[in-house]
Amino acid sequence: MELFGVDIQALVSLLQNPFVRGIGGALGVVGVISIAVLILIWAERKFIARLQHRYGPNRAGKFGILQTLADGLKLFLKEDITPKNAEKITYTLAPILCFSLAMIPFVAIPIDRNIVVANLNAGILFIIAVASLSVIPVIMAGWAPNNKYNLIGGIRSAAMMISYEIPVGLAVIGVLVLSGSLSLIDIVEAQRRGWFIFPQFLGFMTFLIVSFMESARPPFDLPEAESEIVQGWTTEYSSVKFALLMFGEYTHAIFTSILIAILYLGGWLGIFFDSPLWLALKTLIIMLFLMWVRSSAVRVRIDQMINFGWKFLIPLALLNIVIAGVLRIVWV
Amino acid sequence: MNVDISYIVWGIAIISAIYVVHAKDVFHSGLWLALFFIAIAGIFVLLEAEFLAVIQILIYAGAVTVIVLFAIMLTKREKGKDVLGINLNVLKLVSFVIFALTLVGVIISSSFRWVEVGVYGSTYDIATILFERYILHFEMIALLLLVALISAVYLARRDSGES
Repeated sequence: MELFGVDIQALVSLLQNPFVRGIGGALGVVGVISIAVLILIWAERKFIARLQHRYGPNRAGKFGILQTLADGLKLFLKEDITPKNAEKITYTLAPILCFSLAMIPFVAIPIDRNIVVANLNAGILFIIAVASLSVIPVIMAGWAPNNKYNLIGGIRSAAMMISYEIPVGLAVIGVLVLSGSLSLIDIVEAQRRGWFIFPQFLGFMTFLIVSFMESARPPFDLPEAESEIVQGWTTEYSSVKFALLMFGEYTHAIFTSILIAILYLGGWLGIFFDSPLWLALKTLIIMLFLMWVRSSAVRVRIDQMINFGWKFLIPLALLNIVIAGVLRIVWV
Repeated sequence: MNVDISYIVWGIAIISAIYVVHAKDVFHSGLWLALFFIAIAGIFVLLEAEFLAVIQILIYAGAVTVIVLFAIMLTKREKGKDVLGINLNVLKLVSFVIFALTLVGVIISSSFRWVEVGVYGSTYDIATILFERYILHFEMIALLLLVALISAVYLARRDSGES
């Protein structure tokens, strides 16, 4: 078979080579996610603007769609300032780690039954593990520049992470009990009898609330609360480094949205046919929900947030596990 | 090719372990500790124990290191001393040599020397061993953790009630 003069058989056999597959997969993931982030930031600004009776960006390109690209270009042309008393290596490493750790989980996310870069047996655990690592660059960025606002942001981020990591794990256990597998592909295929949002509604709610904390979005944007601590953990960063930090942070929102679509909304399973388009649609709907809440809710205090995580979300997730166990015995 | 990668991973693990002690700043020690835990997870991957590797990252690199760094961030920023300073004297040298010799002796006399690839296996193997052979141990640990959880809740409650 040939397509545009390229032998498809040779291309497929080339993909079996682990080295080629790794490099190709990594480049593909970074490319697709970068473009998605560029479009989604524009969509978010436009959407929130409409909710607030404004026009939003409308100068660069048709409907202002090139606005994010222009902003990114502007950031890249800015002067890269390193504070005098900063720890240089940690300071420089934090944005790089933030960006790359945000990208890594996507290699294990399947977009169709056969389309996944790395098909891991413990896929869901791998994703949660890498996501739990992503707070380390935030702490580094909080510590390295020797700035009190950065430090407060970093401390808040670590405190938040400690309180949301346990509810996430407990909420996922409910899905694992019902699907009986750690592989994301099997989890989606187990939802042919019904999406897990119905039997696992409490788990879904927990995960949805936690996704705001994980991507540090309002009402849980405590690490960078602009009205309290200037710009939080990114205060001392400028230029490319700031762009990388923001990019990595925004990627978490897409990542949690895809994860919710896969775990609770049936992934690529659709009404008439199965397709990655369904996954994209469900992810977009959840992203729109995140944007909607962002423009309507006020920021909570840090003690309220930690109390909420420990005293409300954890019991809720535990109750959800009990429900999942009972359903597993009765229903399956 | 696998052998080469395992040398690299072991190298990272050893160097980062040394730097945990060597770093002058406690915060850097914490970061090196994270790298060390990730390198250990890499060794688990090379031993084809995917599940252990992921749990290693999740618990140690993800949770323990973050709590360590969190605690360090709450303290005053201070430059510490290099614990591995080179001001050697005879007493230190003798204790080094004795410790090394003891370690070599223990390693030679122990029954297992090389870890076999693939034995520590999959989630399924671990679950089978845990819930069949070691079920009593598992239940005991669960009980212990429950006691710890309840007492932590009790302590936290009483504390907030008094203040």
